[in-house]
Amino acid sequence: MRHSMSRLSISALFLSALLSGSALAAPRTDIIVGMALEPPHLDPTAGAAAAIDEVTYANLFEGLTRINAKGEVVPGLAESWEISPDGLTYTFKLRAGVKFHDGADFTADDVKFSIERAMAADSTNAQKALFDGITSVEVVDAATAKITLSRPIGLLLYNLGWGDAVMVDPASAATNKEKPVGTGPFKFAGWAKGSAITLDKNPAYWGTPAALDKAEFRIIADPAAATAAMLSGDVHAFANFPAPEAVPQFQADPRFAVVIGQTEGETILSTNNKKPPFDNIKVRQAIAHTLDRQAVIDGAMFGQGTPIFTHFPPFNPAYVDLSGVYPRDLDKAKALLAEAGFPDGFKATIKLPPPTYARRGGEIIAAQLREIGIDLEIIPVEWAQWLEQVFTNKDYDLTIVSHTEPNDIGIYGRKDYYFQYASEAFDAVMAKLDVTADPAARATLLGEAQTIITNDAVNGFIFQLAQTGIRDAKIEGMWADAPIQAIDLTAVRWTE
Amino acid sequence: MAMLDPAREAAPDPGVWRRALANRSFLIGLILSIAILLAGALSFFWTPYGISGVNVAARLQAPSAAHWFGTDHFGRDILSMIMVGARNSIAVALVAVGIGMLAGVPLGLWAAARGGWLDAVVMRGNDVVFAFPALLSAVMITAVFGPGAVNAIIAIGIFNVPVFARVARAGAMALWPRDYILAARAAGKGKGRITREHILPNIMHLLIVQGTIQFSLGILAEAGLSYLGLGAQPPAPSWGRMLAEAQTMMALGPHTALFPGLAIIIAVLGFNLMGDGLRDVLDPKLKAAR
Amino acid sequence: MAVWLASRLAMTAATVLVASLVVFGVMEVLPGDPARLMLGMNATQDAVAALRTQMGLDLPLPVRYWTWITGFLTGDLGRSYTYGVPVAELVAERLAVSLPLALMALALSTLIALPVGLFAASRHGKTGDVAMMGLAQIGVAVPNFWFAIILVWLLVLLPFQAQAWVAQGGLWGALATVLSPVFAFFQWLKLPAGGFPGWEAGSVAALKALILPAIALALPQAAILSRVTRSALLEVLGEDYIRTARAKGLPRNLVIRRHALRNALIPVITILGLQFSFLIAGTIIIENVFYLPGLGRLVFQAITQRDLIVVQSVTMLLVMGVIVVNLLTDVLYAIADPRLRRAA
Repeated sequence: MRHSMSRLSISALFLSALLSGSALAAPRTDIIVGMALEPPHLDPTAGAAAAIDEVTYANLFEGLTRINAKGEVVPGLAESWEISPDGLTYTFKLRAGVKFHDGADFTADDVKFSIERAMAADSTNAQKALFDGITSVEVVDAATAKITLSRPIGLLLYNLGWGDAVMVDPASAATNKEKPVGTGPFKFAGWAKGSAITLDKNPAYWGTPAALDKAEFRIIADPAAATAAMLSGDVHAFANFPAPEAVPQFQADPRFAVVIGQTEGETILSTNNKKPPFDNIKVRQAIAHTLDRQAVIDGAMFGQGTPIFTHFPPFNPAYVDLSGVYPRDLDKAKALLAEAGFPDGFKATIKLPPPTYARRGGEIIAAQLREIGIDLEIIPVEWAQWLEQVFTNKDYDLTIVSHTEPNDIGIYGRKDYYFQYASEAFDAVMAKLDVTADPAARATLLGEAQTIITNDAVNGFIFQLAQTGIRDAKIEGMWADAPIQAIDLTAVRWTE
Repeated sequence: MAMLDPAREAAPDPGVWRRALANRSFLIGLILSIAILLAGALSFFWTPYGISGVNVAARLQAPSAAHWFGTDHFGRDILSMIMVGARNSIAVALVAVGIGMLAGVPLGLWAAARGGWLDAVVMRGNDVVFAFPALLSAVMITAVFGPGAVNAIIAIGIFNVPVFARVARAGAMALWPRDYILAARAAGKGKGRITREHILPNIMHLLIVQGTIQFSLGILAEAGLSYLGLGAQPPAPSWGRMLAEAQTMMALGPHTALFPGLAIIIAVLGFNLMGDGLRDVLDPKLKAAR
Repeated sequence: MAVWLASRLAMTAATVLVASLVVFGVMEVLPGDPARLMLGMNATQDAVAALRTQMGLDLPLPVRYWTWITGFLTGDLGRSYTYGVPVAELVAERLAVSLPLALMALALSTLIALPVGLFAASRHGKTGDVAMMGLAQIGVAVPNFWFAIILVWLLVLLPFQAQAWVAQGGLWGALATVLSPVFAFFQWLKLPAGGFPGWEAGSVAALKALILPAIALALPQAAILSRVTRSALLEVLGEDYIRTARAKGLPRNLVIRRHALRNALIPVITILGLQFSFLIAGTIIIENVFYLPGLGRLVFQAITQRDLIVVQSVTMLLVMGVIVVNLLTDVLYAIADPRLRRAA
């Protein structure tokens, strides 16, 4: 007995040595990803916070379609679809064998439930407008769902790929905030509030299984702490590093790979187009002639970002170069101000929400506008106040904010949007765009729309927000750009 | 408070200054405080560089002959920023002490003179204010009214009120049973008049010492609030916000945090030492205990 | 004593009641709609309205106060708007960070302050005393968040940057080479500059994350405490029985240790009690510097996110904590000091 005991323990020892040896040889299968902001909860269909989508999109939840790393619409839980010739009926063929993390089957009933829940009168979906124009969702059979529209929506497939349109299970929908149950390749494992969210691999996933067994999102908001956590190897990657100033340090270090990617975030000097003196186009044009975009990018973002001259991402094929419309020209700007009746400039306020781009950028823009005599009082606000004062009550002159939603030029046509901008010409272009499906024709219309808002100098267009991805050089498969708010870990793996 | 003779108590002591200057704490404190006050005053007329411009090319330069304390992330001269920032710190602390004195001292004196339920109400009110961790309440106050120097002053000032009320009340309570006060009452003087003519002058030294201490606490509190982004707003520089901005730059330019921090320490240290020295000089009993 | 205690308790209850009204009132005037904040820029007006109803924000004022305060007193602190979990649960989670942090800071400051105070008192008026009290004066003046930033720079960032200096050579390179064992030690130690791995990550990792915050929090406390210890000791040393002991020929240090220290501890403990409120303020700011998921950061975050129920309940808890600690200090003091008890 004694003899066999010791033999057993020796073989156990041998086994563990073997295992640890093989663990050294095989690539790691766990990852710790840093993120600056903690999500308030984990239900992407009930909140606007980007952090919710970053954790859940593609990892935990999937929609009928999905947006890939390049920003293209690809099949998600619907493997294919048919669009009726009038563009009013979409018939989705669902994938077979898809199960929610709690074991429930994914069927057309869930499609009907999910979309109707998002559209309902008591819905708390943050992007309810995505579902405007849907009149009904029908269950044809368990594997087929049909969506009927009241008017053609060119972007429907794209809209269904948003995190706000993911498929949820009726049994768990109410508790997704706390314990998200989706169909993705990872399942929710735990959440230590204020510090980390952990996901485990979903062994029953319908598609290509994830390479990682375990993923942890570590919340580190402090830029100094983020730098230290990366340097010490406590965190393996940041999809969007919170301190642009620390980037050169990582670029110089071979242990790390730094990828400066693009996002859908147009960072703009939003202007209250109905509030004097900003209701005068000459004043807005004067501001446009004064902005030194590169100085803002260098000063606030340490060089990361691309100047923009309209509300459209420069990497988009439909982007038109409007940099020549209002070149930096202080004399011209002063002349315009004088024509508008302000030869000595005027005083105004600028309300700045918390992000670095706004707070630092606002200081620089205030210094620039001082050069033409516009004296800005800086009023920093928390998001809560920003949403109430600026966004809802339109009680502001100028503000700086990054509009991170993709394909959002349509906001310039929204009645009562906080820009307080109204243009019949723009609305006409949007109306045409809404019923146009042909990509080339859409691009032309989008170009017209960009030109109209630039000519009207609706807002000060500053720069496209960059995404600063920093990761251990041995990690691959992370998105370079952020066409949609997501930290997609489905293809992430260690190379050694 | 071993003083008994009303005439001597009320009259200014001609030897106070000499004794104060002989006190080492007071002298060091005075020198440091004057240095900070002068830096702030000088900044009205002259600073080495302007602080409103943004010059990205010159950012995060280490201390040098051209920029003694280096430059910050916008390329601004840190020495100039600290000089202008001194104005903000001094103004906030001073007005906050003023609020505390103007509201707290009458309240405390009133409570001591009237006693009874009024005293109880004032003191319980004080307890309620004291029960709120000051910083937490200041954060809430600035959340309601918005961040800014004025609201920082209010937030800090409110918490000075019960402090001065307590000091004034305790000082006055100790004086009321004194013979000369009783004599004054017997002579038909009203409570209000006695408070004005006899009590207030005789607790002045307590208030001055407390004022110095609250002043230095005010500078610390202002720095804390600005660090959290709730104090004076850009482009007006403030020491606390300079530190908050420096925190993310530590890997590139640690000097951006070093110097504003030292400025806070010197200001707080100066006024604390001055307060300690004054207490020693003005309050012989405490001095004996040291 | 019983009468005194009863009236003291009644006063405490009244203070708590008034404080609860103040807290609730402030929440009411706080600008910003939590529902709008949760749903963001693209949300439609009816989605926001639906959420407001769901959160009970459209009920009348007195009803909400009553629901809150009765719940609070029975241990139901409400449900967080943003996290969607019971506030009590959040508080318990956060206390697992804040409490150890506060205790570490308290222990650290006491461990520093008592010997320093003792040393200074025993060298009263001599160089050692002056030097120690000078340091204490500076310690009181140091803002803890600045100290924290400098600590992180010295012990966390610098060790990793120093390699580059060594490569550069020159004066700094030489210095970095000399200090390289120190840097290597801290590189190996890997103190986190912020964030908290959670206790599930093991107690070593968790404690490591709390070391720098505790030091930063403890320094100003230690400075204040050492001054109090010193002056309390000196006061006791001036009293008759100590003089008697000294007159009997006992050496000064022995007298301090055997007689004076114990009696001087009473004011020290009182100050420790009074420092509780400062400690809370300190944790708020230090937890923000280090991004620790503690109670202080929870309140601060909740204020900016307009998670009113969290702010309300946690503020109330902290306020009650201060009130209760003050009460306990008073009671202890009364027990320790018979004169006070009789007078009351």
